[in-house]
Amino acid sequence: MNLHQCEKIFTDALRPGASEEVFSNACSMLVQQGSLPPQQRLLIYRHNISGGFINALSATFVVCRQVLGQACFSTMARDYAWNRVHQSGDLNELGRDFPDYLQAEIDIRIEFVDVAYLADLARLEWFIEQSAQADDSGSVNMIGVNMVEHSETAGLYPVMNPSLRLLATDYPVLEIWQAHRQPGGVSHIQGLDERAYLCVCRDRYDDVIIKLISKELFSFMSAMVEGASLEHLVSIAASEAPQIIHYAMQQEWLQGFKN
Amino acid sequence: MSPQRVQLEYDTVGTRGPISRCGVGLREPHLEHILKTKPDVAWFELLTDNYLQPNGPLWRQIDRVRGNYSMTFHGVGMSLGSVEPLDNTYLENLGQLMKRFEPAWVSDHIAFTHIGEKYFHDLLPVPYNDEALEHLTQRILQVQDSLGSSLVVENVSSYLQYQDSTIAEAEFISELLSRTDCRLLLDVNNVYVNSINHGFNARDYLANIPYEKVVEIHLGGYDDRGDYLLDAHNNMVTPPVWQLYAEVMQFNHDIPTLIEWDNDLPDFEVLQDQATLANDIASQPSSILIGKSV
Repeated sequence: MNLHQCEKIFTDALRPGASEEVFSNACSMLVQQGSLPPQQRLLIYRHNISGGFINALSATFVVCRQVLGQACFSTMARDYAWNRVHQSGDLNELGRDFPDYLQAEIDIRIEFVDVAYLADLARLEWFIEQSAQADDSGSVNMIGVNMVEHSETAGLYPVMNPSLRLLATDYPVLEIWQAHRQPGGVSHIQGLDERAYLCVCRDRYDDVIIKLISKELFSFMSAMVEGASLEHLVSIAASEAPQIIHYAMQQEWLQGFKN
Repeated sequence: MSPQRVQLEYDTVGTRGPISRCGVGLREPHLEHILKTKPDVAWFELLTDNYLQPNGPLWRQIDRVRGNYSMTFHGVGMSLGSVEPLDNTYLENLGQLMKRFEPAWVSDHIAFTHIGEKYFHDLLPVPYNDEALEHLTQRILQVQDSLGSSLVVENVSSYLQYQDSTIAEAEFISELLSRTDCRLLLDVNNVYVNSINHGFNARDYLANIPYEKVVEIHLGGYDDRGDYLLDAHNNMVTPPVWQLYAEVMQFNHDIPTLIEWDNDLPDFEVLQDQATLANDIASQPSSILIGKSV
């Protein structure tokens, strides 16, 4: 047996739900030692790996874990991590697709009908973490907004704060998040009358600030994040564009423009 | 994650010296305490995998620690034993981190952590045979080329042994060091854990280590699960591990040592006390060499 086969057989058996054949194949390449049979030795690794996955996701999705309870969260975190399609050696990336996984589960499982907001809550928690860690080394050759001539707007593009994240949701996830993070527990959660728009961004003191913003501002900010030119931004917000740009600069969401 | 306010000004008074005596693993929950009190610790070891995202607040915090302490890097993501190609993005990010913080050295494990597209984020053992030895040799040489510096490799704890292993672990490591000119981070706790889990004599293992190539020792606490010892890094160093450590240090007083603690993290002072004990033992190993009943 070569090294590749050895690693493959071993790791195939670690996956929860591995068939008996796969498991016994792995056991047959292990030395029988003392009172602990090979099966038990393989399970130590499976358990350790699952525990690592659950710990990593618990650290990011703190409120989701509180909402679901430790047992339910652990099961979902373990299933997600073992079956995740997009993989990375960076453990900090493990949670990237967790909100989408939760959404898929919510869509098909009747027991989640009362926590339909969970995927958006997870998105908010993921954005908070991403915002807190974002690279802020800055962009070179940036043009300040006061340097922009109207005639140049076609070739100018916004440079956003790298920690900025935008979330549109039909649920009061900000209130849910706040309620769970404060002593005194959670008040009754009601649905929103209308869609809510959130802006997550880290300020100059490294605090992550979450703001509820208007639909119009959200649309404008989304266009900026997507890389629309200044000319296009001016066209979608017409006379309000200078005011919105000024506000976004003031909030440090927009850092300037580049060619 | 709880966003924390940090000051923007950096510490300017540095007391960085060479890596010596006993340091402590730097963990995020202790950062505020360390920055505020500047505790008397010889050096810190940074878990590199938590800091691969460049710049940002995490790097600023480490900047402030680095201003006052010497530092080494320790990672789990190189997957040196994996048959898959090396992860160049990981190495590039690590290179950036090294450039910024200038660690005394970088260490990772004699293990693999992924196969295909599946990442386990756990240290999985390789068989100790000629093929694995040659494979690890080439990988370590590649990493050393990529990082532009010597690598330090660590012996891992394990819970199983492969029938395909044909070389004793200590001999395997010794040969690996010889072929690659890399250095060894000797985890004495791992040696003890493995000696119980696999039923060998820890002293025989330690007798075969080339100490001239050992640049660091790790000490940590295991969890006794009855049928086996789990390398949990969630406890104080245990008496049998202190005993082995004293025996190693009897002839190697000046190997820098590190207290590793990852889970159920106690107050920082507990880690400091463990480091103090390690320093005491290192300076007078005969003081606890009262028996050889490990």
